[in-house]
Amino acid sequence: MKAFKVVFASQVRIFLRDRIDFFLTLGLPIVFILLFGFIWGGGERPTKLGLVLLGPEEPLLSLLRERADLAIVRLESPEDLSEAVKKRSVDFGLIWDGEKISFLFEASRVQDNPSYEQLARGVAAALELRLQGRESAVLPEKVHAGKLLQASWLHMVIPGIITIPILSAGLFAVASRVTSMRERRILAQLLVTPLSPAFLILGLGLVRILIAYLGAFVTLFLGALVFGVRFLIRWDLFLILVFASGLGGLGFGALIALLVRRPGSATFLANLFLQVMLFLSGIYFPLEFLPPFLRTVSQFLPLTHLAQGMRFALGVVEMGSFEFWGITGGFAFVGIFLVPLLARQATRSA
Amino acid sequence: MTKVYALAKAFVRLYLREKETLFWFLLFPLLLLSLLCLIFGRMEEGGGMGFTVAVVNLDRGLHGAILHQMVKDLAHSTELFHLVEVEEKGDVERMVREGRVSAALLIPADFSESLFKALGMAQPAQVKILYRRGEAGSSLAANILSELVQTYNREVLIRAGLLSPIPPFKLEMALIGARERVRYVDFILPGVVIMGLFVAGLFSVPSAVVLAKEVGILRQYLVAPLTPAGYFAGFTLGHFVFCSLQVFLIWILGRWAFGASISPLRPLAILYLLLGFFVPLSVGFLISAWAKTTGGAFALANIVNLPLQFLGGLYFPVTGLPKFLQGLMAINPLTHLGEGLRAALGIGESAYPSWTGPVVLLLWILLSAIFATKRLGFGVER
Repeated sequence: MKAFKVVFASQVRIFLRDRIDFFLTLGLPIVFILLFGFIWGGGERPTKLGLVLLGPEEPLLSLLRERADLAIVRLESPEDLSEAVKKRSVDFGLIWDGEKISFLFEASRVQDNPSYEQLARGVAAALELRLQGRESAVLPEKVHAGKLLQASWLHMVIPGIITIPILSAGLFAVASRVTSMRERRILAQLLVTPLSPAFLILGLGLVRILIAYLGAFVTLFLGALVFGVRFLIRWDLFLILVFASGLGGLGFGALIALLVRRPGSATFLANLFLQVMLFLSGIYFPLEFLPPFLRTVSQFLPLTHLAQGMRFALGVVEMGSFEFWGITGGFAFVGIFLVPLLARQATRSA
Repeated sequence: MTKVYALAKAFVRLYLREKETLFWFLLFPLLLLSLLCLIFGRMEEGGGMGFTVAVVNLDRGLHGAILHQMVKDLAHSTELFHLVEVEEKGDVERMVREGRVSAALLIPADFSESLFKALGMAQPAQVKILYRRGEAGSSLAANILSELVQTYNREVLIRAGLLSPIPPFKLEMALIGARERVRYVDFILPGVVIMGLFVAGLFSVPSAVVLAKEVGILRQYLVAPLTPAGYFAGFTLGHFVFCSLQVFLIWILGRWAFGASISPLRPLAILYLLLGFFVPLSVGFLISAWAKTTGGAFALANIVNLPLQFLGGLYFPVTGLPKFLQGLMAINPLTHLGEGLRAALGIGESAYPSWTGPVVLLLWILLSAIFATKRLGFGVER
């Protein structure tokens, strides 16, 4: 037990000293949440519509004012509007002269323009009815049917962000640290001491799992503090999932350490694995946006399932209990199965 | 001069040998460009989304059947979504809640009756669109359904003789700020190029300067007949060669794999590419001068890397920020590099006056150079 305590204390010291490691596991989620929150957290803010009225104000003006999804910015002339659209001080523009309705979009806003065009078509359709003295005969009522009543874009993203340090904490620690210790013969020296390989890996792993918890709590706290994002957390499931996935991260790191010998190659593989997963696991982009073959690939990526399991534990989505425990058990199994394999290989090579 | 060339050659070889350097400087930009183009590029080409949309028609009348048929026709003709027919209201609500479908259209049992009354000027008939707020995919699917209902509404009013089929005004939609519709690959390519150059400059200088100083390599260089200026010239030349290779590969991938049509061979674009080389290099020196150790330098580089990239609008146009972030954006070199390069390539206009870009970028180079020269001792006595 004393040996374990020494390994544990040394790993804590190493983590606190290694600024890059510290930043990547704790700082990066903070950066992500602040950036995502400030830049895209306002995704549900009204769209800024620049308006130039050269013809009769009504009924267009009252129609636009009725819409909660539009914030109207009145401008004097088409030239002013054109400049405002180009400089992106408004999202898109509208010129109405009584006979023609013109919408202006900035050409480089390729991702935003389809939704602005949709808004524009909606405005034109409503104006057509008003000008002919008609009301809609059919009204589509959008109803939120998700699990969380106050769901927002950040509610979907934050659970994904939480999973990044959990997985990467173990992944990089085992992959690069163990291969580095092996290359520098530190591992061999440690293993000829009365220290058991299991204690060595356990000491290293436990620190990582505690870091995973810390990262998850910091992210949740910051989301609530800065952006007011609150979850209906099922603490029992959350704590178990973080532990199991932290263990899984160690397992994936062990897999990489088993596959390659050099620390450089291990970091390379771990980076590749993590970056591909970040893009294809529905954390940054919804899975529906992926092409069919990448959607299939995403189903084989552990982070896809971990992020969804985390959303369930945080009360954002529904999930069958069989699926949740399957994900949790799967991650735990990866860690329990692969970490001892690495320990055995380390003992043999020592 | 031979020494400078030899040193440049050594640095290029070093870059090509280090797997991590190869990953972040060469492979990652190519991977990023490919993934972004595969995801967003196909959306503009009308590529089928992975949406599954459910429809429940509880109405036994004619209007419910027509609306139901319109949803089926849209699903078959455009491949916008995969359609699932559901019988029960409770089932469809559960399917949306559990994420098994992106959105659902619920046509109530009294739809035809309500619509008939609505045509006689009573309250409009309602249909429900179930979705999950906050999920981009679900919101998009709900918007598609909402637009379909609007189209149906117009058709019904026209057929009932309540609305003229000829709109009382002309509708025009125009794109401004570029000569033609900008394709996604043409928008993202300059952003990825600037990202690649920035990451290369930001991380390679600490590894070449601080690490070399820390482990004593610099000391060994400087006892050779090589001046500090010669050392940095060799490093800069080697870095330039490597960055040229990086830009070339990104551009080739964009052009041949994703059909990018923009060409970097324009004087202003070349100027911004050169600034895109020198500014990150100077920021790299600034960080190296600031940090005492390699670990510190890399941590600092990591801290500034992502915020500057995202706030620079390299991947998405950034709007609607709080004031303090707008100020940060205005002095962010990546904002001016990205906007300047895009404007030089004919993709949109910079949100800032044209003179600000070069001025801000030159100030970054100048101030970084002054600070780095003052702080960055070589740690050796010749």
